[in-house]
Amino acid sequence: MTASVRKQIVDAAIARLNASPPSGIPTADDTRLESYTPEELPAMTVLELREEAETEKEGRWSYFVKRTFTMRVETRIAETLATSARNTMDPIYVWIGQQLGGQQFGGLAEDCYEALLEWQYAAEDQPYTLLQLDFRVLYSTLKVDPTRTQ
Amino acid sequence: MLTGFYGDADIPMLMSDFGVAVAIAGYSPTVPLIGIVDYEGKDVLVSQGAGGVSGTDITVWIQTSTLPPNLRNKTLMTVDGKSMRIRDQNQQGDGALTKILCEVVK
Repeated sequence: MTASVRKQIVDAAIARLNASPPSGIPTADDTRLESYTPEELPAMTVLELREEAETEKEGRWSYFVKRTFTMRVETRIAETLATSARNTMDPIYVWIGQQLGGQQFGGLAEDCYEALLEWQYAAEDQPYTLLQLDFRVLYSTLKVDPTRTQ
Repeated sequence: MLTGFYGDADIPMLMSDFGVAVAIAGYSPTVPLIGIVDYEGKDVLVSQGAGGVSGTDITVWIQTSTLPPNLRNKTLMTVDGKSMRIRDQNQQGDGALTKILCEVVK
């Protein structure tokens, strides 16, 4: 069965993130639910978060559903000092932004942009930092078929 | 009267059973410091039920009266030969024991 356009977009996003990342940039996991051990960090995972949809009004009836999908990219790092976390996280953030910002994923999406960034911190046996980067992905599908954009 | 914590006089006996050598940077006590160290796993930075990080709480229990006055967080210490940094400290029960939370210095 053909995959939904949304799944194709997520798959394409992960493929872009994992396409020859520079040294020090982790490859992206697809919706990892298991915890990372400190030795596995830095680590990145891509999650589907939410989607809102509405009919694309063009008259009394429309063939299309206009969708706004939130795709989250989470990055976790460990540092020897919390003060150096920003230096470690920044190149990873830049890579994610360059790979996903403004992407149309081969015509699947109309736009993709950073909508919300949140940081979380934890002091345990060493300092850990989490960056949650939410991308808003705009796309449309046929009302009668979520696998087709037209 | 029974209490849920150890009094100051009971602590040296407890430490002699389980204690490990502790040294605090810049502090030279007359009697070597001893502490009881615990390593307890704790998941942190979990979101949306997705994978967090398998962290570890490192706790060192030390007799409060043997600690230097005005001990500050971020002070370096050695616990059982491992380099650590104090990230928090709290007195427990009647205050005779202090729980020191540490992070590993690499």
